[in-house]
Amino acid sequence: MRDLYLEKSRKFFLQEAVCASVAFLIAVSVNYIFMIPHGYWIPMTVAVMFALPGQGVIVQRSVDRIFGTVLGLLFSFFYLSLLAYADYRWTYLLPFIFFLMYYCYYISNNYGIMAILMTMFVPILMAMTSEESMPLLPTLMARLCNTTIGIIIALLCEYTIFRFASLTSRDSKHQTREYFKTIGEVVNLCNKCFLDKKKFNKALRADIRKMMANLASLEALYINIKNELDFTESKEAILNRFFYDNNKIAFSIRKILAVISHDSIDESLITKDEFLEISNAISLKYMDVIRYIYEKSDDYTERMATVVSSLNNKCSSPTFFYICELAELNRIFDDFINFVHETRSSKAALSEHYKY
Amino acid sequence: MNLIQKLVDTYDPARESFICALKATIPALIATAIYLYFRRPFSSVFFYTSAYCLVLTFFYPTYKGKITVLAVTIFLAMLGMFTVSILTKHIYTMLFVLFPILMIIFGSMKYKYAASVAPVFIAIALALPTGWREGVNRCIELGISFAICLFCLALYELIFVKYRARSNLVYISELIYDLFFVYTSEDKVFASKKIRYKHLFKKHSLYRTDIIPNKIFKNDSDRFMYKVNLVLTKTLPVVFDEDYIFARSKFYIYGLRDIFTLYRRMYRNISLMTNFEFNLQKLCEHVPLTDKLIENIRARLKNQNRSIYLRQTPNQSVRDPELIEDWMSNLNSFLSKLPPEIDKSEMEYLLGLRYIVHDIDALRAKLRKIRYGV
Repeated sequence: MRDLYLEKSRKFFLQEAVCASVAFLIAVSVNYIFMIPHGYWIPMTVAVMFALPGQGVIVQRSVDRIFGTVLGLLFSFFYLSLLAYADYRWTYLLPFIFFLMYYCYYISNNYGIMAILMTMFVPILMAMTSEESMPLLPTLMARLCNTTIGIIIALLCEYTIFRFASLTSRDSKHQTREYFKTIGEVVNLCNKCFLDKKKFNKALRADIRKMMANLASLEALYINIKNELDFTESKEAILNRFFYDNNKIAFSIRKILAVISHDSIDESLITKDEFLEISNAISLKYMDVIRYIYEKSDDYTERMATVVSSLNNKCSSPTFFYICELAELNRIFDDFINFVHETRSSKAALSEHYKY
Repeated sequence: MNLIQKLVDTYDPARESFICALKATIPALIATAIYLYFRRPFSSVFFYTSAYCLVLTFFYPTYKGKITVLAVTIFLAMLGMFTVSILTKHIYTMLFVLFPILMIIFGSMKYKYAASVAPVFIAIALALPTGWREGVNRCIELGISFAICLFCLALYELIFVKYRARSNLVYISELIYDLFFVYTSEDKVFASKKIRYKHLFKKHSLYRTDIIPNKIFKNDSDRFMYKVNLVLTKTLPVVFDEDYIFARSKFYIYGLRDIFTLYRRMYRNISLMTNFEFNLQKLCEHVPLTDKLIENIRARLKNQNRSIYLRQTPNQSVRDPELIEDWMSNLNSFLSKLPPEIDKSEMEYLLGLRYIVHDIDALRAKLRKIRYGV
């Protein structure tokens, strides 16, 4: 079967590659045409901007880099002019700065902090390795100017050449769909384990890890989505709601996993066939999320409510809790889908309003 | 010193960032030592090529993935740097040749991480001496950088695997204790001040990934739960996904897997206890000895944490078999004649507690089997 998402992604990836390559070559040309001192910093900045590109990432990274460069140059100026020129042994701290740069980056996941230390690192390294002495202040100024030029070239290219190629909305839609699908698979495998009185199998473990990986990618995308061209508040509202609901889904899945690790189905409460019917319906619902988002609406809430109320006097059994969690998963799913439908219709109504 | 310790404990409790930073620094130091010894034909770019390339391997759990991404990145950077070195006097030809190379670098979906460093090296090559000989020198530099990276990959497995897995385990064990403490306390605010990782309750601005929990959760306990889940997710690859080549590391990691799994199970059991508005008096009325059992579990978890940290079998056993047996029989008698107005969340809480009693015993047996030698 053709994977349309992959095919489209390939196309957009190539478009973004064209954009990044052109930006890099423009930066190289600017360096050659204007013979700028330390001009290689321009293509270098462009290269850093387009490392693992996404429109939101590039914008965020630009802000971080400017902020980091200014602060880094100030620190570097004081470090070199006050300490290192007085006693060259201060440059021995260079490996420590390099270590600190990575340490701060990994702790904070904040490129701005890394840019500060990176900017400090480069002039010190140059002062150490260069054979002829370099004037400090002009070098630092050249760094600032070239970084700014590089950022401007990167942003201009990003917003003009295939400007929709690096939007993350496609990826976030894909990851959300994959996440719901994985939840469906996890529920399905949990049902099997619960029925067959088996402990976790390999497939279930793999699915749980996939679920977490999907979520991690969605979080990474979420952070940058605000800086994108097609950002709308309704989109943010849907994503906020998704993360809020996702936390509840994860809670329910965790509870189900806790139950299946210790207990199995109590057939005095519910027959295997009936259990299989309701649990499979919920698992299929999650796997088929796209159909619900576009057309289908809730079809299982009443059935679940009836099952749960019929078991209400047997709430000491783990099977009861399992079924309650299935009902909760069903409810969260329906709420989320209703929310998406409402947001969509209000958005459509708003656009109609402005039309007339 | 105390402040540094406090900061490190707050921002890098599992020492994961410390290890990553060290991993990036070591190749740079090796390269610097080689540079200082030979000087020519190396350039200043040699200082950090290996370090930047090695950082790419952090994204791949298997050796195959790590070595492939290194090889692809080094090869593409070599191609670009060589082109720049020999064609620097012919700008149009250089731009013409560089374009397809850059397209390959930026357009590769499978090895997209190569795009984060290879173009940077090409840009730096613009400032370096040019010509055929210098082009070959850049290739030699990158070749040596590749060798340094391979050496460091093996070295890191020997040095860091144990430390990494152990610090993660210590961190998780402490977090599980904290979590249990919070959900078995009536005053959550007071409990949040008593636990070790109290900062997880607060909003951080330094962590970019904290944006989501800060925006979504109004409740501090939920935020705490979410962050603990993030920690557990991050530790998974260390013991389950990453592959190891040395028998020593494999033996150690395989031995730890069950312990990590049991801690994850405890976390899931605590999830069952979160819906209940904790009321110890009510719990004790329904199932006597619950207060003592909670105290006992707290003491056992603390004892286990200490033993894992010190790698020592505990001096005295805190486990009270009689208490557990009595509590279980109290629970069974309560379940056999349930009052009609019983709260579902309370039942869920008791179920979670029963599972914890079961899992903490399994964890104890596992740790005793390896004599707490983690």
